[in-house]
Amino acid sequence: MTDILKVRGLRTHFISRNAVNEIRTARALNGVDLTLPPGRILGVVGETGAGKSLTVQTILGTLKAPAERVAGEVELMGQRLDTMSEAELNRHRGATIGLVVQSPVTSLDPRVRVGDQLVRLQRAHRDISRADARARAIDMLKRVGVPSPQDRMKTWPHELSGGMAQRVVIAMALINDPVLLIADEPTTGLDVTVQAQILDLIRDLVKGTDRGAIIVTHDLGVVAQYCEHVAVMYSGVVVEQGPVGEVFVAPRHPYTAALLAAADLAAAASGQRSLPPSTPPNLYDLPSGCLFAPRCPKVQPVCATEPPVKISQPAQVETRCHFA
Amino acid sequence: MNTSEPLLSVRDAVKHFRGGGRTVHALNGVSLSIAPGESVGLVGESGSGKTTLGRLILRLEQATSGSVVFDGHDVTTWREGRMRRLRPSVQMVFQSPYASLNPRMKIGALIEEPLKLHTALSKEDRKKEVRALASRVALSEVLLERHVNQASGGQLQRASIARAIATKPKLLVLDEPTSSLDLSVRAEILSLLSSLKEEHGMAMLFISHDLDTVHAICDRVCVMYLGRIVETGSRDAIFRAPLHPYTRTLLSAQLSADPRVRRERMPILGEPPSPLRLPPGCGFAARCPIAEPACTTKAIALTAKAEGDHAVACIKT
Repeated sequence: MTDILKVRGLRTHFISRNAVNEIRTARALNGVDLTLPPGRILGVVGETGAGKSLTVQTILGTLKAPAERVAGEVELMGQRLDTMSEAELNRHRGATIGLVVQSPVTSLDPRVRVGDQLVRLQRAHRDISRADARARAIDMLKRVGVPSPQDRMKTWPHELSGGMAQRVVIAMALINDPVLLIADEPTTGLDVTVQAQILDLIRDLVKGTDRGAIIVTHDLGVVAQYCEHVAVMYSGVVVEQGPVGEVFVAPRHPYTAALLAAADLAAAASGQRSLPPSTPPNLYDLPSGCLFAPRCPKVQPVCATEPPVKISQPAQVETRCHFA
Repeated sequence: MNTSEPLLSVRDAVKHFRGGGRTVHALNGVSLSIAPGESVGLVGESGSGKTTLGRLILRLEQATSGSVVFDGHDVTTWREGRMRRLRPSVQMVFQSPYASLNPRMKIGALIEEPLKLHTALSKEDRKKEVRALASRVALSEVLLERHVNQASGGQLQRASIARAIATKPKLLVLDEPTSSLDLSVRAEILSLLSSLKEEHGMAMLFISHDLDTVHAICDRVCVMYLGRIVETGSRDAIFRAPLHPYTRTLLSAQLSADPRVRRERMPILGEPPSPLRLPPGCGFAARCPIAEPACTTKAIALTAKAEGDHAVACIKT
């Protein structure tokens, strides 16, 4: 079966000029590879600045200057997205690709009633009567757990609670029956009980279908409990990727191990240090070897000079580490 | 239960916010005490009244009724001027250091500010103390000369903590101090807080919606729902043997980072009720999987259970 999404060697740079007109390049993505098979949820994890959201923007082709994709390929169901024109891409965005971002407030138009937004989005992408679009919108609101959906069609976005607004955003992302759902921190800031409801919904939509979903998150619990596959990002590189049951149970990359150790807050509070307290590398001046080397507890001389290549491990795990 | 005099004692605190012809029932009769050196976690979802209770304790809000006794003083009706004398002994750390630290001041000056206000130290001694505080919270001295926008979230939260402990408070109120931080930084801050607790015997009220964080640092836990404490007990009692259906729902919704651990989820129905119109009876009844008709008519107070200081407000337990 064709993979839903295949991303190879994605590099995105921020190119700007400083005060004396020299070109400055921040290397934010440094060769991102991702694979998403159908019926699966892929979790993309990493800390602030690892390039998670930038990866999503690069896939969708929504980068704004000074950010620029300088290398890499993106394939959706075998079709190249990176070579498509803006007009062609627009046919995919909101249709074959549904997007859910962290803040529902920014994804809903505050001037348009919930129902009208759902109707318009359908009519922008397919030939459908207003009445049919309305019926589908009500049905979709019901599926995402919005109570009395008929009444909610008339609601203004500002009248919705955070959890309800996020459900409406998910309904928007799904209304055109996308093949790929990308959810960027879909539950950050929501209460745990609401979080569970939203994630259950995403799982139900993907499981056993020919659709796929990517959840971008910094919450390892979300990945462990809802995703089949995980990609761990550090400084714009996927350092480890594979089935969650492998990567989270027996991490082979020292960064994955450190991240998982930090998730054990009780141990961390008792002073067991997981990572040296240093900051990620400066994107304007990246080290020439492994990007994690300056913080790595297992660093060797070769790490400072040679960038590690992708190594295939047993059980479908891939790592970028000289000593994994 | 600690037999010594509590450091803080809140009795039947009620706080209503009125405006636009409506009343938000933020706190609906909350009692809570904290012993010297004890760390208490206050958990609950958005709108449960956690932050309002924290602000009431600091007297940033005036209670509608009820009392707040801190360190032997009934401060319920104290005004700002009088309250200032107590400020050194009760300090607060807020969720967002970007919002709570003055961006025009250097980090060193921010840490020095409480020393200026509340101590008689000379300028040189203050500088020395600022350096000692910075080293205490593992903040490099280079950062003392920087502004807020030149430091990371973790560094700023360390600075906020240094500022809060500068006057050696007896009670530190922390409102979601780690929820905007990355995991590894969160782990570092929690480790710092627990060592401060050990060394200085400082009491803490830790407000958070993150149960893992509370589990990592608190001796005792209070669970809030719709402006009431629905369950309180030692950390082990709450996490190992929770009684209230709401506490059990919250715990079962926590996601373990270990994919081999699968918790059985308690179903939760609907949305939290509006604090504008309080339901009669138990606030959780409408969403509770085990509610019976009596739950919706009769309010129930926290009732002590056999084991230690474990108390729960539920007629079904």
